[in-house]
Amino acid sequence: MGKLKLDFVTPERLLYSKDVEQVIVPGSEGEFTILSDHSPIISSLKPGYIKIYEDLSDEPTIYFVTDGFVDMDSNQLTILAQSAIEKGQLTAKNLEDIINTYQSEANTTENEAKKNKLNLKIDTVKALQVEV
Amino acid sequence: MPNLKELKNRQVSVKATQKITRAMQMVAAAKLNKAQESAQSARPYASKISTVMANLLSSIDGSSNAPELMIGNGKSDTYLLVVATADRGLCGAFNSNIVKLATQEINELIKQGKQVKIICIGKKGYDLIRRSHEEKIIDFISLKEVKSIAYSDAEGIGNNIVTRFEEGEFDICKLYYSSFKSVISQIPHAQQLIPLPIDNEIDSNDLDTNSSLAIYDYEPEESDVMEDLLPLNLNIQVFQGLLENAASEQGSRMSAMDNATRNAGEMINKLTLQYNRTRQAIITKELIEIISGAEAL
Repeated sequence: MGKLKLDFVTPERLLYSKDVEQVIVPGSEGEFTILSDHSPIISSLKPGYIKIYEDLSDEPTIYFVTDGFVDMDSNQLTILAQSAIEKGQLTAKNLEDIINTYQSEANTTENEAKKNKLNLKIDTVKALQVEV
Repeated sequence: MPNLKELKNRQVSVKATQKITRAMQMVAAAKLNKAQESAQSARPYASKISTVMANLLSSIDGSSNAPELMIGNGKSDTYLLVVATADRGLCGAFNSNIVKLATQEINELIKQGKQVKIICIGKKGYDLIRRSHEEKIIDFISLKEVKSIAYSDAEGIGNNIVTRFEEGEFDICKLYYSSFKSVISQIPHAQQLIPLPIDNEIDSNDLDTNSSLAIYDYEPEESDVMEDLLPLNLNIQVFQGLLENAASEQGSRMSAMDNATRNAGEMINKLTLQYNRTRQAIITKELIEIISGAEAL
């Protein structure tokens, strides 16, 4: 199986830059898997886990991301995340904070569509919170 | 003849000043390292997002329903200038260079009969601009409490700009900051944020090397992706600008304080020389007085 080049960045730093076999991302329309030679795609992300398989037989490296985008083009996968936390370090407190920021944003905005989007995000994070 | 006591006092005070400037220089050097690091670690994200933006731009080229954030609203009557400076002084010409560039632009625009609005980031720039264009300043943001600039700070400013744009407060937005070239060279810089400046050269280069550009899949719809990505891009530009500014400020302060320390050193040498000469002159004078007094007897 061929590999694809993954660059995983947040505004603060470059998190991950390696050749990997498979990445599972939480696209805003649903989770999907990217293997090498995936067709070009740009997708926005919803809060969730990014699972990176350097080798399919190994355990994945898992990060929690809040917002962002993925861009796949000629075997170059770029993940632009607003913030990312490694799964081992994720606590219910982190998620609580994230919910609170979304909530305050939702309270201040008057744009209906934006509000719906934020509420959707809050629900997703809450569902994840139960797991943690 | 200058008073000995006076000379001594001046020497002491210059020494004290030198101590302060030396300490400031060392603090600035330490902060510069940190600021440079964070500016560097933000670079991958910025370069990635601009690639993604370039891909997007080339694929929706020419379509008239592109979002206004990208192509502008077709007018150019009101300009919003975001002037980012430092909150503290004693950093050489750093603040005044940025303000000078912005002021030139302001005067130019006024001459052309355009409306100008200003958002100031940083107290020093605010103080300088307030003198000549107080009525044009619509907002002032201070980052004094912020130790190291986080993305959330830039996000707040970016959202502020986007909201104002959506409310039709301005047509064209430019960001003024100082880009960090080296410790001794910081160049004030203007960057257009809205509408997005389209670099035709880069676009066509990308098209040549990358044939898959036209057949991107979008998830969700293209317009939804654009709607999210454009403000994000703007935030990142602001973030990048602020980080560069922070590094420039420290670099500028470091070299300014280095100069000040050296000047103080020179001054101390001069004062010491003058002090010693005066002391000798006084001794000689007293000796002459004693000798001539003895001769007179």
